[in-house]
Amino acid sequence: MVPKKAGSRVSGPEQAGRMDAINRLNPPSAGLQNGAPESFGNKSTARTSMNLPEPVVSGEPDSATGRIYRSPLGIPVSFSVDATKWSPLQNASIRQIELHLAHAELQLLRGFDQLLSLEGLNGVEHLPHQIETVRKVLRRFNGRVLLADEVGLGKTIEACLLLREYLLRGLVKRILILVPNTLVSQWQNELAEKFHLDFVVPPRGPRGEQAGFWTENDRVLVSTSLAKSGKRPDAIAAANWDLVIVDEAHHCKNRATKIWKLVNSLKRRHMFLLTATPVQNNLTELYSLLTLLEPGHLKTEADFKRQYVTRGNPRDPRNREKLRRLLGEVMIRNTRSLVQIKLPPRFAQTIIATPRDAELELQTAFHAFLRRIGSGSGRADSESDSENDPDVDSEVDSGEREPQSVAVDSAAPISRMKLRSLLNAHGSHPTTLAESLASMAGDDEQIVVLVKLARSVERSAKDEKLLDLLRQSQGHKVLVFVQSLRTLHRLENLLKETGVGHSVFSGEQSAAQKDEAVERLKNSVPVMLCTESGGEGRNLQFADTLINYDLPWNPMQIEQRIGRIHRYGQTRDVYVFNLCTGGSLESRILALLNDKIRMFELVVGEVGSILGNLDEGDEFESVVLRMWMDSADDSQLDQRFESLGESLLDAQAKYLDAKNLDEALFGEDFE
Amino acid sequence: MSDTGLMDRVRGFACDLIESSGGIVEWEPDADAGQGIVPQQVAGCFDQPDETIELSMRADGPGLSLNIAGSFLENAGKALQQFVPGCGSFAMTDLSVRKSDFQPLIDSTFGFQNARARIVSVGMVPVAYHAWWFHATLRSEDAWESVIQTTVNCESCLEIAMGDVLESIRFATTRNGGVDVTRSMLSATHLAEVATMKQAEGFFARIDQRLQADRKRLREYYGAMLKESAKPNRRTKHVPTESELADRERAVKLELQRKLGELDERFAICGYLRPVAVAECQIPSSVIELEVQRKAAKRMFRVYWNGMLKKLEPLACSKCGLGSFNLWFANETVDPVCNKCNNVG
Repeated sequence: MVPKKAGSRVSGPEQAGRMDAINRLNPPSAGLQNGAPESFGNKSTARTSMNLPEPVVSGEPDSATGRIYRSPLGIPVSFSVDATKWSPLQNASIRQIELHLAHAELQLLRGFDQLLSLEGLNGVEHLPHQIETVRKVLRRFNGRVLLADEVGLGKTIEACLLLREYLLRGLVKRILILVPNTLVSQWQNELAEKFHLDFVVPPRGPRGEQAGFWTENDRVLVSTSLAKSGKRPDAIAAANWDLVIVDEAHHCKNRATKIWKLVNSLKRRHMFLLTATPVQNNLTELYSLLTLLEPGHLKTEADFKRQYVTRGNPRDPRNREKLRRLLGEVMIRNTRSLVQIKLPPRFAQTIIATPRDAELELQTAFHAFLRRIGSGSGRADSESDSENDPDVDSEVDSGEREPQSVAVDSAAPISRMKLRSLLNAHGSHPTTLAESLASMAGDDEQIVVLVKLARSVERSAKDEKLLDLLRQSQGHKVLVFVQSLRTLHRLENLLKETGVGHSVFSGEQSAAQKDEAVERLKNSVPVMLCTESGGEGRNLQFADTLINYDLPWNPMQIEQRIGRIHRYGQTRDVYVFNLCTGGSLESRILALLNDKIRMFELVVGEVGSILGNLDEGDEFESVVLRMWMDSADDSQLDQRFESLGESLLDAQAKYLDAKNLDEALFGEDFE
Repeated sequence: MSDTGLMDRVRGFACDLIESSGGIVEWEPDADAGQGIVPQQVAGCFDQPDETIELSMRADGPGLSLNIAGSFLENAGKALQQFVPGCGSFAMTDLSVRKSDFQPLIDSTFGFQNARARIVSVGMVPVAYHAWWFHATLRSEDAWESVIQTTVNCESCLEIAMGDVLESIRFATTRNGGVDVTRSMLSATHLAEVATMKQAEGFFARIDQRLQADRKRLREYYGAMLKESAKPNRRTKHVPTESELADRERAVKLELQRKLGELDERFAICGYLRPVAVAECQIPSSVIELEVQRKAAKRMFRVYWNGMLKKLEPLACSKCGLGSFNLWFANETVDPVCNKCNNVG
């Protein structure tokens, strides 16, 4: 073979031969082999390898090479070479060539094809449809979108990825996030822990009403109820925002409400509205929402009603296809059917452990003690420790940052935070309670007695139930969740004593230790003890059983625990066991969530939607604590729980109604 | 990549660009803004009236805003094209070349399945290799972009895996006299297309999935319309006749076909390759003239021993054009055919 002369073209047959090879790599009918319903376009127009024209390198700008490739489904791919516009200067140094390459690389970054936000995330398992959504919003929606994914498909993750992408590219700086009160801490924690983004939550006092607060802080997370109250709306509207995110945006359905007016008045460049149920009662609500996003997109309200709403039935759309097309320009809705996420069934069981002997004595004495010192404590310092305070009994705090020992006498009220910490500790394990009490004992004889009593409980009723459960769960991989490190260490000893093989996963471990714990569970031991961070970001779908040894008061946290194994990729039935001590506050919460809204049968994500509809002003755990403090005895507490149950049922009914309507309106494959 | 990481990259690029196009930059490492003095024409590329320009990392900063969101990158592209060479030639003169004992090497490297090969002569010459970088873009309902790199032996027109070319030529001698890019452009663009098709698999999957979903939606929508059209009119209670039904069915099917056709057009994928830079590497090589005999027929081939890789390069398959070390030969023409093409027949 004689080497080609400089500038010679590849000969026809040789070129045709190359095409044969390429066509074999990308056969036109590959789509059929892959089970695709049909190939792309008219097959008769597909060129064969033999009649392809020779590629042209110079001549017309953007000259076509003449080669046609195909995607797996058979979509034709033709190439042009932008060669004539390219007349490079010669004699470049290596540095100059590198400069051209650096320019090309930077252009790629701007093209949003390489998402910067995916790097360095902590415990975020992003799914393909979420990445696809992020790209779409960046490219096609110019940062103004109604994210209306079905519940549980990760709207929050999509919004946070988008937010991070914009921040990393320097496209936004000042961000305002509006969320229902019940979700403030959830958002704040996720932003900080998973996305490394710190947001300021405004104080409830007068400082939050001053314009300065809203202009000084670049990243603010605020509850909608707080934002629309007092002088805040004017202060918030006076500031310039690059990006505004509104979670549970269906609350902005009515243009006469304060919240709609507030969002409408905001000066912003980009806006994400998040809701799984954009239409709650009638189609005009959709109009109101989209008007916030892109005023005029649906023309006037009268035009909208005339064109798209059936006269006499405000829930029934007309000109569906046209409306759908218009909505498609400003709204993304992923559905389970579209993204093909199907999860196996989940079974939940509550196991009440009845305390006996010393444990029962401890429970009675502890409740009496708390009633005495806790009564009125919320009113005493509720201003100073709002619901946004960190939970002192979180896994690391409990070991390292336990609040200073405050020697209280039995008459002095303790802080809400301490009260909650004690109640949580009691709900977890006597050992944990003993340590919590010991840290505040001082000279108080009553507390010293309680500590002694708590330490005398060798094996709690829940311990016995746990061991029973583990015995019955042979052949299954089990995650045991606890709230605090003290309980974790206690259970570690218990399992050691009884010879149950286990690994331990907690927030105090290094990444390597955590990986090792997961590996051990996967390969050698049946049980993994974990704290709240249990397995975040790691694939634990090989486990199919979850035991809530103790229960967080926040239902979202319970849902997150379940979500660790009942998630994308799980193929087996999932079993959830909830352990609680009879007569405890946790047993009431569990009864409420299980009996009223059947929480353990809900799709992951639905709890948030229901809580978002709750009229109570505070976060759920604060509501629970307030109810406890406001009740003089157990019967009053039961009444309050009953009333909260009714509110939850109403919130659920509201959510279900909207969900059904939206499913009917948007179908399963809205894109 | 962190926020600062990206900012640093943009800033570094801007400073290099200004300096490479004959300007100077003053910018304290920790400062948000700096200053550059550039030739008038370069300032013009950035729509700046004066030779002295303020540089800022803020989107709304004064002077030239170094932000990937704005027009900075477009303007930088213009400046690069006009003032910064993108084609360079480099000679790797200090590489040693193997001069003898090629027969055993040929025998152990190549598998000539049905022919005999004999070395006729060996010569030492510098061979030009062109390293190409393309900015590849695919556009459809969505877009995909990447920078594709390929290196071509200008004599054999085969792609040679040279590893990190930039690193290899970092200490090479820079040559003057320009680069004849047409020697390799055809092969390079073809190889870049194939590489793009391979690298963009995820993009194709995405587009395919969307197309399927849209087709499904259209089919279901028109299917539902067909069902509705078969029902009696709600007001007049008129029940459609058989022929009316057939007409409606035909109309709906035609409309569906039209819509599906529109969809196909919308999803067609266009690829664009924009050359970014070319580096010509002159590498001392041994050129081996090889006589291959298949039955009575003989033919001369040229094989290259690459002085940088220190190994032989493959021969091109006459059917697919790709390089191969394992070859079959045609009876009379002695055309080389790679194993894969030979198996296909």
